[in-house]
Amino acid sequence: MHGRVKLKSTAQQEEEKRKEREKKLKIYVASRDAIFAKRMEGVLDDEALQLTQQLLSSNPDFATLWNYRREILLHLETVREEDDVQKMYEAELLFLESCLKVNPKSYGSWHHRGWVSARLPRPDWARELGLCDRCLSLDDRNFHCWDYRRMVVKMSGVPVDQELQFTDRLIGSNFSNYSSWHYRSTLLPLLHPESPEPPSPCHQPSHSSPPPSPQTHSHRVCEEQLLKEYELVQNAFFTDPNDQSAWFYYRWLLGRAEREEMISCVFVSREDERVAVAFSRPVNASSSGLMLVLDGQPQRVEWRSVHPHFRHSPVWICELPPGTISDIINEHNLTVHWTEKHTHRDCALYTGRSESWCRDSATDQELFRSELSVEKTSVLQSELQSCNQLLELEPQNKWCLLTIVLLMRALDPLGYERETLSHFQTLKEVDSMRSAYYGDLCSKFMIENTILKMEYAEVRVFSLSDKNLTMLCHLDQLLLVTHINLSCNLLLRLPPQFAMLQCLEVLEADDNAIENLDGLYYLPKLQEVSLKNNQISKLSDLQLLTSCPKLTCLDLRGNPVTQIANIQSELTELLPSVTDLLI
Amino acid sequence: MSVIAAACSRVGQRVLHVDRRNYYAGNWASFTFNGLLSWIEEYKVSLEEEPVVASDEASPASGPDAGAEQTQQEGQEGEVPSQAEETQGGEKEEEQQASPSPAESQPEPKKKITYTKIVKEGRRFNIDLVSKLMFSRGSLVDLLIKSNVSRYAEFKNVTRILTYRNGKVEQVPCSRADVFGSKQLTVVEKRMLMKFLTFCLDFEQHPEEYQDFSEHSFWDFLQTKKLTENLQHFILHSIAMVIPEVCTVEGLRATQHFLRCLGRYGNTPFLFPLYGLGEIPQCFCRMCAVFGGIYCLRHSVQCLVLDKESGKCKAVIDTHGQRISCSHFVVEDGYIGKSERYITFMTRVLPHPGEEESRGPTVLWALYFNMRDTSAVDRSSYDLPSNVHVCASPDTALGSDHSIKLAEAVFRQLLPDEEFCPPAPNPEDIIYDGDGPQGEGPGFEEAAPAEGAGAQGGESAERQEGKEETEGAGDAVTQGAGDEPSPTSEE
Repeated sequence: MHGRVKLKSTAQQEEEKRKEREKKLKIYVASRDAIFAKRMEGVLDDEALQLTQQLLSSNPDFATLWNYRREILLHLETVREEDDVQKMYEAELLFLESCLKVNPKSYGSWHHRGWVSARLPRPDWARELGLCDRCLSLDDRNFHCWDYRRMVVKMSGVPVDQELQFTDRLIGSNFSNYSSWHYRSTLLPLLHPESPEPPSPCHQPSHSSPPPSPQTHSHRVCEEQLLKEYELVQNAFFTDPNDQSAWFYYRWLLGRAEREEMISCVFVSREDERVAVAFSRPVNASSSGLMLVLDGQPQRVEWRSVHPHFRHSPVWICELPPGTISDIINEHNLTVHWTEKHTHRDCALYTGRSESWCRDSATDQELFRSELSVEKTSVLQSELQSCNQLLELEPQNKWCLLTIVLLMRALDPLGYERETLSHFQTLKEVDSMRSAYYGDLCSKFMIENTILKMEYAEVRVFSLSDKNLTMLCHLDQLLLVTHINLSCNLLLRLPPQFAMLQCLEVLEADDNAIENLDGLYYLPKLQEVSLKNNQISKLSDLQLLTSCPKLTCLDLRGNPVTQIANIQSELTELLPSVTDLLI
Repeated sequence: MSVIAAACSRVGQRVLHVDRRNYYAGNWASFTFNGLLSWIEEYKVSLEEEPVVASDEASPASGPDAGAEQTQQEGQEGEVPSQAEETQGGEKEEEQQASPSPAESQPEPKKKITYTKIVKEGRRFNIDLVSKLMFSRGSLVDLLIKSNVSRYAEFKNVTRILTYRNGKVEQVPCSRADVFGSKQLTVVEKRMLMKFLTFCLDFEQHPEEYQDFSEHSFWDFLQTKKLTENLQHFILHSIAMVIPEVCTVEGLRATQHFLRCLGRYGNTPFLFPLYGLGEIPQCFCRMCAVFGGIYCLRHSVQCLVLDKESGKCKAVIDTHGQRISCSHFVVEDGYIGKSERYITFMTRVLPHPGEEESRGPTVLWALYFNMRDTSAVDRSSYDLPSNVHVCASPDTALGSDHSIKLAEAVFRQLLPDEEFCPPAPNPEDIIYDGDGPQGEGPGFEEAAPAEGAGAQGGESAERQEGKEETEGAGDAVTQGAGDEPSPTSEE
């Protein structure tokens, strides 16, 4: 076996490596101790810079050393000429580059670079942009670099259109990149705002003026550009329908209308001498400047939310001083002011009426279309077509299915109800891990549709039985409902929000799996409750019913609670007003 | 071949590698443009044929290697059918200069490439004799990585793949980013293409998709996949790169191979050595030399000496009449003359493919020559002593997998118990004499003087032979069945 090259054995190599490491450690520890000693003494000199440089170049994540360096640099800045300061910081940038090579995701290095760049007397932003480009070409998802780049762009005032081109490039090389798509979503409203007034800056990018701040602009994009974006993102999800990043961007493009903030309903009950107010979003009455004016007189009233759980609630209630509106022959005019939002709503209680309300109905507000878009129907229609085309090719793709459902919601929620339900069925099958999510989402849409139907029919009856409801929502929209039927669903509870049904008289919720009745709290008009075949198991679960003064009928057949000994007498004791008890 | 030489040298065999040419890599060589011109001149001398002036892609006239045959006969030796003298394995070339003048006379605003410019800038590019690329997950790349030979060269990723269709040069969308960015495909086509490619990636998992087509051609199979004509063209010609008639599974396998190679080093499946394919054999030569192999260019073997009883080759006699004993002899098939089929190579200088769509690329200069393709020839068809091994010429495939496979097979015959090209050690892990605890073995240093000696030829070769027999009788002529061969080949 002559003529062979002799090699060191693995053990020999290991031993050498170990020795090498030990040696390094010794040097490292010695330098570290020397640096700490210097810092204790408050020494801010070149030697300290050198020592920290040695350590940081092998371990750039030593945050204390970066802090020390900044102390030294700040000090040296005060004692040196500007040219020297420039040189000093340039050297610092060079050193940082080597650190970034050691660890391209070092928090300390990137932060320090930002700090140095900001202090540099004559910064070379073009060079910094070049560095970011290099770095992103190695890892286009390095968020440290994205952060730093945003800072560089801001400081150097890179024109928005150039930045858009930059995202074009990155998306072109790999469209699976949330950062790039997101960056586009911030740039487009600046470059192609929806309002037609400003001349399109893409033709004549103004280098001198700073980019308009996002706050002063709407977050919408002009239609021409939107159409281009739809095309771009369609290319992405047709190429790879399983990549989420493009779908998320698409959802953003389709838009999300911002609902006007307002008082959506004022309800007044003469008998209870009570006012209930519903808002377009949950508010805190005590901090939002709520004021009640009755017949021109501001009233001192105490607002409470519908349930003690809620400090913020879309529905607030107040009791009027006894006797103020109880005489049936008088007409009263109420105004509720939401001073914080400079808005108000009037409500007249006419002679002979026991209750009155004033509101915008859900249909007037197009409330449930806002989830997706305020885009033109024609645009949404053509997007729906594209997605259907993709679905034909990819019948199992969940992102496509879900987007179609959302588009259908935006276009015609009632007209597409049947298709929506069938898509949800497919979604639950192809993405069984999220079947509960789809169940909840489907429940939400079904509730919205039922509310719409109720509004069109101008009734106060909400009936949604046998629709696989897994949860309840939009209950603030049901403030005026007197009868509700939720039987034969999959509900587990009547949530605290259920207390918003201030006008509710009859509740049917048979054949669910309800085990919790938190929402049956202080419902002043509730008379009948039917909860057959549910999962109510403890007497204490029924405790809250005592707060409903008018409750006379209660059906608890088929619940575990009925198996408790002496249940009849216990219940009679707990709810003396209930005369019709079925167990 | 160089790979075999390197593999043998790496595991401690003595290797003498002779080549009558004055450059490395033989049929695999790369030249600068000027180098190529002188290469042509060199072979023109040996060919008396009239240069056929082919106007375009027309195949050159046949009657190719009469000249080559002649040269081969020079080396005819009574004892053994060994033609040690060889040209490029029977090449015939014609040169054609396609009117460089119009481009010069009518300078357009866009920069034009002209023939004079090519000559002037001839050192700025290389021309490979064989058109091959390296599949980034092909066996050549694997071997380069495994053996650490990759250290000796630099590589680049091919940036894009173009295809010529309907009179236009188009970019082939093959990676995900390409498909996304393609302007030629509709979104539905994009989906269909991606779907098909995704299926090809692990087609073995979905036999139901193609088993009905196992008897049919790949082309027939493609027809059933709802692919537009556009896509069928891309897949067949530019991704699978097969002819329509290949069977379905072969087509799928080719597609799969292409796709698996994508993304390893970039957006296309291909690597190429920065200075031409000729780098690759040279890198293996270097590896061979590092482990003591000896190289002699402009030097060739005249004949073999056979042992009467065993019929084995026991020595070779070089052109100086020098006898060199050996236990194995590896030769490129070009030396033993078996004409098979011919590849036509055409080199065209295209002015900016892809961008110049208004009028197609013009041929500025073209070269036609034939190279014998013996890749499919079985060794047993040669009547050779058992210890003489043959390396085939480059095959027609785009990758080099076939050649690597052959090289490994020859190595297995030579040294069945040795590893094929194990990783070369890092310099710091090598123990030199007196360096390590058991530093008795010969290392690099010994190779160096031997190499110097070898260059002198003649006697020193003899001496070196003796050295080879370190353990036993130092007789240059005796050639036991020892395990140290001196595989010789050209390239």
